[in-house]
Amino acid sequence: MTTPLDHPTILRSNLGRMRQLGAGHHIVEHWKAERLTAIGTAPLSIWFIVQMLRLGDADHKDVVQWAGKPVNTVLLLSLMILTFHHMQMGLQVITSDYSRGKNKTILDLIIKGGTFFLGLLSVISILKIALAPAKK
Amino acid sequence: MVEFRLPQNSRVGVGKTFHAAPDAKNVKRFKIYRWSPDDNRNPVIDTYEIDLDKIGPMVLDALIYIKNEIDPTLSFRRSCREGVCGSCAMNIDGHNTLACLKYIKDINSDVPIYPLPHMPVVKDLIPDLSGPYAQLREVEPWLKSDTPPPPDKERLQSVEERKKLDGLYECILCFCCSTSCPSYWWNGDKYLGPAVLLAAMRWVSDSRDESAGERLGELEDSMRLYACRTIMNCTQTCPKGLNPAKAIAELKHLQVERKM
Repeated sequence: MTTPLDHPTILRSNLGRMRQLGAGHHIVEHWKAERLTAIGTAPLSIWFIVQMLRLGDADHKDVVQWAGKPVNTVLLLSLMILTFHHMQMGLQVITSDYSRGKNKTILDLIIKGGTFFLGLLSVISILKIALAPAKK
Repeated sequence: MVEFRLPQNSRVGVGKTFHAAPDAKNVKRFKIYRWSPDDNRNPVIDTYEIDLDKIGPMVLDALIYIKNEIDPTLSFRRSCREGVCGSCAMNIDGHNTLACLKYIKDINSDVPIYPLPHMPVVKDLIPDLSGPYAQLREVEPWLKSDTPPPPDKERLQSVEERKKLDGLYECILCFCCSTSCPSYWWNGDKYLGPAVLLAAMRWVSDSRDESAGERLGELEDSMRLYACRTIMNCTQTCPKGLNPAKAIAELKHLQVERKM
């Protein structure tokens, strides 16, 4: 058996390799949304923690009543939507650093699907408490 | 995915030691990365004991002394020896810097010297920078203007307009910053790196240039510009005291501004 002679497998010019397929565009909105969702979740998280401490001793009925107030419902929904949107974008940034090609596409789909499912689950749960609370 | 160990061929072994003369009083040890494509061996660290009384104050003086007096096989780039050409960029004592601007007395222990990190090595302390050079070419670092220059005259710039280039034009393209950047280590083929983005910002800021929009458009890519994670190693390591991280932030701000 003879081994094939060593030869360079890439002879494409450096400029051609670096230019790749050109600029992808549509990233500015993504970058802006990362920052805006981060800014948005900060006060909402503080509000949420304060409310949870305040409701520490409350029973089920009080909590349902609290969550059913329109202002609280809207703030809870905002917190959930911003959090999961931010989470999806943040995780995507990590995959773009550490994974490439097909792996990256698969990971991105899992991240998008997973965060969408969790986000939707929390939104529906909040709406259920607000609009059709279970009798107890 | 992620690799936690160096590839088999990149693991560094222990090399030769060159002892100083017995009567030397002021001895410092320089531990230098050695690799040659001709040897078919893994890289090693050679140790050179140098009598500091015989050489100038900079790390480059020590390297030149080694090459002239001890071991002529040691390879490194150097030219101006005063921080203008950017040739002698290397990793000294854990920081990317210019050997000609780094005082030996600022390093308390032995002096470890490696080539710029995460670049292919040509030999010893010489990295292959053809990738970053191609990326620099990609941002077209020259004046692009449709308005012809005035006849018999240069293109004029006001004092205020010229001031906008301060902190940008001084870059000597040593690539200390790009090779200190983890984002560039991970995705150096897609991310342009701080040095090239600083050059891009220099031309976007130039009042005589008329293609800022085109330039910003070419950078609007999830990797080319936005792979910057504001780690700021670039600014910390720049031997010329420039701030590539700020230039990158300004490019991002301009991109947001034009979408408002």
